[in-house]
Amino acid sequence: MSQATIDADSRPNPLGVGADHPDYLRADSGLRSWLLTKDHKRIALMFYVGVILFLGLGGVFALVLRTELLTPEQTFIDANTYNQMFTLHGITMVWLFMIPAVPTVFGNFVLPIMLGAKDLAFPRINLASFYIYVLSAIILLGAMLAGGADTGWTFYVPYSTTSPTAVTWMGIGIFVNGISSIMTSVNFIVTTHTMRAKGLSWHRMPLFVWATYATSIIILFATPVLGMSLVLLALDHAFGLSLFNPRYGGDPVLFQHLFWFYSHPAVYIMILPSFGVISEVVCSFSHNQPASYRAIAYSSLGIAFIGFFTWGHHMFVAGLSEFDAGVFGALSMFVAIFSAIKVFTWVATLRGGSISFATPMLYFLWFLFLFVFGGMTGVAVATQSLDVHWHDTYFVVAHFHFIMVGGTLTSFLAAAHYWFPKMFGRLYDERVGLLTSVAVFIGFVFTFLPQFLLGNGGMPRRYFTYPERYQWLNVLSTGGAWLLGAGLLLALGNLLLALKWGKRAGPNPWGSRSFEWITASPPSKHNFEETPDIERSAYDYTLSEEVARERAKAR
Amino acid sequence: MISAHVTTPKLVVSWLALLVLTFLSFGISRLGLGEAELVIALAISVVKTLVVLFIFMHLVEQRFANRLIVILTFLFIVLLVTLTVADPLTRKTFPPRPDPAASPYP
Ligand code: HEM
Ligand SMILES: [Cu+2]
Repeated sequence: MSQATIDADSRPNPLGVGADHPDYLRADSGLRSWLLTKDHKRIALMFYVGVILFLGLGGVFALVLRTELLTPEQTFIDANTYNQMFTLHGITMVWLFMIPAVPTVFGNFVLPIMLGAKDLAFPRINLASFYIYVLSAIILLGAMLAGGADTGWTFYVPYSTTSPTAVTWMGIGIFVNGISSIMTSVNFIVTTHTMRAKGLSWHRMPLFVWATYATSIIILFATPVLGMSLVLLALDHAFGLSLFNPRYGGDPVLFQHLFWFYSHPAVYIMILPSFGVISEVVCSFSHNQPASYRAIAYSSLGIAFIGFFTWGHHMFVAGLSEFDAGVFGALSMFVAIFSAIKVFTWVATLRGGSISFATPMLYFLWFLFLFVFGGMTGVAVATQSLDVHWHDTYFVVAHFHFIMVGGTLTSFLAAAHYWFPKMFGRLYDERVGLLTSVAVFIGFVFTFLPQFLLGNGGMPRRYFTYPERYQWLNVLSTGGAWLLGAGLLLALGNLLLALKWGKRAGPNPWGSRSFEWITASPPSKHNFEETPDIERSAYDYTLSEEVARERAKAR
Repeated sequence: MISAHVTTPKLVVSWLALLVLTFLSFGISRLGLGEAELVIALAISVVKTLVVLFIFMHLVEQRFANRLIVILTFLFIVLLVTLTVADPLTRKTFPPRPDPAASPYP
């Protein structure tokens, strides 16, 4: 197109909308301006620091666990410490990293910009959500210091009601954490409903917005059930109410029903935002519109919906009635349909695109592999006859790490690299990025692939010693874990260095059409000086960048 | 579009209604009705929830799209309760455990 050849100086606003204003990092200064900020971008950065801290902490716990499992007998911690450690690992990773990570950091940062809004609908609630997250982390850390818990992240009764460890405080901490995530999701839902720019219809919204929107709906419906169950559990533990005790008419399996009514949907709370990231990355780096926009958008809603009908597949061998088990087994299979729709649509998007293999795109490939592998094993464990063999073995551990950790971690890293220029206005070192990405993937596969074999061979999860014959697989797994840890540290280092020494990025280094790239990088305090007027879809690669920006620019 | 207004007298009346319902559920728990007690108690709390939602939380003033949330929430509770209750109702040991009294000498 002819406009593409216009030279830099005559281009309409070559540095992006709002480039003549100071960016959000410099707009105000002083600690106070950060701690009391209502700017969604600064709140996103504060969350960023938090979730990375907890990823690190959870990672350290993981390395302790894996190192203990290096040898069949005790290696360096005792059985009790081991039990506390896997509980802490699970709780930190699930509630302090995986659930908040993508929505609170990248959702907070880019969602309003993608919608052409100046901020989220409730900036104060956004800030409160951050402090409540911090409060929950403090409670959880306090409980860890006060002895932690040894129940596993699932808190199954009756053990958890009688365990002498800090179960009550863990429950309260997670309850508070839930409040924070509910506040964020209400904010996202209202913002998406009411603050879209002129011309930005539902079917023009970037797919990341659809994904966070669907996630927010799940959070809204599922999290209260978790809060309630953990309060009941905490009451049981603290005051001996015996709510789940058969002697008083209770039912221990009832706890599992309540827990998984939240926690199965919760796995989609963790993975759906990742789908959003991946959709953005695929389109941006193949410079192509999605093979089917609606298929990706609506399958998020489909997953959100069907995710609520499958919780019983965690209870096949817990004493669930055969009738319920049959119903849940069959319902579980439906998730595969929506996931397949997504996977095929992403892959089809590559077709006819002009693909550039930057770091985020590499993470997309890893994501695809891990998600499909993990998802297929999900369908396998949802088959009851197979699950009787695999339940509570390392097979299940491998399944959910492939899909949850593989999914969230790769997409978190994809997002961290993809939106880095937008957030900080600089470029990271691409070669180091590619290298760390490969290291993360190899480390990951070496950590968790052997665990499928271990589990299938009969090694139970949550055990601290094991027979000699499982050792070589455990050694592989531990080695992989250390490599994964090193890869993550390198990636962090690469990004931190780029903060100061990276090349200047310009508003749209990837040539993407998504709306967040219209503003300057980093964006000015209010993103746009006036609400922009959106005339095209988020993936319209037929217009040249200049024309697109000119048309979408605030008028 | 606002279809109704929550006024102070309405708030007071609903508050009194809530109090009456609370005493009612307490009273019923003293009658010793057995199984029916649970059903009645739940029914009363559903009514109370609706009063709180529609009057105190001003849902009567809202458009349908916003009331939809309450309807959906209700359906979710139905889902949770149905599949959960279906579990104990259909539990049986399979294959049925042989009754030791039936054949004491195998
Ligand atoms: C986004 C995708 C998924 C994530 C994040 C995920 C996560 C998890 C987690 C965390 C667990 C273990 C919970 C525990 O006991 O600690 C688990 C177990 C299980 N998952 Fe998935 N899962 C996903 C997809 C699926 C799919 C698509 C299916 C079935 C169609 C499935 C079926 C199962 C079953 C049956 C179990 C229980 C296995 C057992 O404990 O015996 N999962 N999953
Ligand atoms: Cu599940």
